[in-house]
Amino acid sequence: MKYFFKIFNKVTILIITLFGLFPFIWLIISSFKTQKELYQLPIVWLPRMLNFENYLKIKTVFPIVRLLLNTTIVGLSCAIIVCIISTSAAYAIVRFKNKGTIILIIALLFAQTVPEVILVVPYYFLLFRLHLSDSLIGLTIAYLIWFIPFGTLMMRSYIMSGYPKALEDSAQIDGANDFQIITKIVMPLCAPAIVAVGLFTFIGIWNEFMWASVLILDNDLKTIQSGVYRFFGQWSNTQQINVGFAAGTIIVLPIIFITFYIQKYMVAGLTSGAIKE
Amino acid sequence: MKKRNKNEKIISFFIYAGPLILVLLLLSFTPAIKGIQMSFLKASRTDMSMTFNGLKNYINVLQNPYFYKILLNTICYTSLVIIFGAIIGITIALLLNEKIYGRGFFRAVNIVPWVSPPAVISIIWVWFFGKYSPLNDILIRLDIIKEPIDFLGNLHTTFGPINSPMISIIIVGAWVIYPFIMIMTSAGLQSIPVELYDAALVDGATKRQQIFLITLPLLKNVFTIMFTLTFIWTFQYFNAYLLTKGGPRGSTELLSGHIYIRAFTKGDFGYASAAGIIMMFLMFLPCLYYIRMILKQIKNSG
Repeated sequence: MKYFFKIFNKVTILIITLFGLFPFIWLIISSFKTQKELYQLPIVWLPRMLNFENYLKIKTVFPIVRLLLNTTIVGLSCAIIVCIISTSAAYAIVRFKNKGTIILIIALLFAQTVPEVILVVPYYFLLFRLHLSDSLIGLTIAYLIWFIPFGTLMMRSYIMSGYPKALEDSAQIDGANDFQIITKIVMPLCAPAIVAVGLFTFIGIWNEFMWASVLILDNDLKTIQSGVYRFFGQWSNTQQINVGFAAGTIIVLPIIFITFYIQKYMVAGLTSGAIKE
Repeated sequence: MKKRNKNEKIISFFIYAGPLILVLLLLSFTPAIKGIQMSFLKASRTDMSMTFNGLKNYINVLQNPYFYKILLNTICYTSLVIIFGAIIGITIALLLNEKIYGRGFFRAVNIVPWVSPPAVISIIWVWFFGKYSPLNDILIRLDIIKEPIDFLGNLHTTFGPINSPMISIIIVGAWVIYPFIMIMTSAGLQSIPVELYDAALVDGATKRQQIFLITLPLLKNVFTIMFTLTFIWTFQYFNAYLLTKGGPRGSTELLSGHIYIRAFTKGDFGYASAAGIIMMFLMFLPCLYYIRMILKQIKNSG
C-alpha cells in the first residue's frame, strides 16, 4: 500500500509538470512543422524531419530584430533605473527610519495593487500631453511604476537581513558618507538581490502586452509581445502560423533560462513579505 | 562613530528616498487623480479634449445590463481559476516537500508558466484549443467526441452551466497562477520547524493529525496572504483577453478586457474610467486587507 502511494505521488508530480510544460513543448515541436503538417487531420504529433525553414523565414514575415531591439532597450533602461532608485530608497527606509517611512511603505503597497488597466487610460493622456506617446522613453517611464514598488520592498528586506550591518558601520568610522556607503558597500553586498530585481524587471517588460500595445502605435517602435500578437495573435492572419511558432520559440527561450537563474531570488523576494524572517 | 541627530537623518531620508517619492507622486498619484477626474469627463479621442459630463459615465456603466454579465463572468472566472490553481499548486507543493529525486528540477520547471510571455503563449493555447490540436486528437481517439471541436469558438459545447470558451480561459488562468501558489505553499511548508513533527511523532500523532494539527494551522498566515494576492491578481487579470478577445459574443469578456475594449477600440474613455473606478471599489477591501497583513509582518520583523 505504501509502495502504491509512492508511485501514485510520482505520477501526480509528472502529470502536473507535464501540464505546466506542455504548451512550451508543443510550441517547440510545432515550430519545426511545415504549414501543411500543422493543418492536417488527424494531426501530426511529430514532424517528419527537423526543418529549420520556419526559423529562416521569420525575418521575411515579421520584423523580429527590430522588435527585440526595442524591447531590450526599454527593458534594460527600466531595469537599471529601477535598481538604482530601489536600492537607494530601501537604504533610506531601513537606515533613516522615521514616522514617514511607514507612509511610504503603505504608498508602495497601494501602488502595487492598483489594476494596470485602470492606470493605462490616464497614462495614455498624460504621455500624449507630454509629447511622449509613441516613444520608447515614454514607455520606459510608464513601466517604472510597475517594478519600483516590488524592487524597493525586496531590497528593503535584503538590506535588513542579507548582510551584517557592522560592515556599514566600519566604513562610517573610516569617514565614508552615505553616498559612498551605498555605492561601495551596500550595492556590492546586495549584488545578487539587485541582479534579481533587474532581471525580474526585464522579464516583466519582455512579457508585457497591454501597456505596450496602447502606448506605442508606431509599428517601428512596438515591443515584442504587442508585435507578435499583431502578427500571429487570435483572429489575425494565421496563414503563416508556422513562422509564428518559430518566432514564439525564440521569444520564450530567454525567459526560461533567466527564470532558472533567478528562481531562488524570486522565491525569496515573493515570500519575504508573507513569511516571517 | 559620529552620532547623527534627528534632523540630519530626516534630510538624508529625503535625499535617498527622494527619487522614489518623486516616482510615486508623478507616476502613481498623478495618474490616479487623473483617472478619477476622467471618470467625470467626456473625452474625445480625435483631439484629446475633454468636457465635463457629471455622473453620466457612472450611470452609463451601472445601467448597462452587459456590465453585470461581465461582472458575473469575472466572478465565475476568478473563483474557478483560484480553485483549480490552488488544487494543482498545493498538491505539487505538498508532493515536492518530500525528499524525492529531482525535487529542485521539478520546482524550477513548475515556475515557468507564471513568467511566460502571455502573447506568445496565447498563440499556442489558441492552437491547443483549436481543431488541429493534440487535445482534440486524444478526445477523438478515446471516442469521447466524433469530430474535432473548436473549444474557444463555439458556445454549444458546455460543461455544466459553463460554456467551453470560458472553461478554456479558466484552464489557462489556472495554468498561469498555480506556480505562484506552489511557491508560496512550499515556502510556508519549509518555514515549519521539523522538530514540531518529531515531537508529534513521539506523542504518537498520525500523519493525518500532523497535517490538520500542525501543517494547516501554521500555514494559515501564508495562505491568507497568498489567496488575497491571488484574488487581487486574478480579478484584474487582463491577458485572458489575448485568448479570445472577449468573444464569442462576449461570453469570455472580463472586467479588465471590457475596460480595455471600451477605452481603446471604442474610444469611450469616460465610460472606461468610470468602470475602472467601480472595479477599484470592488477590490478595495481585499487590497486593504492585503496591505494590513503585510504591514503587520513588517512591524513584527522590526
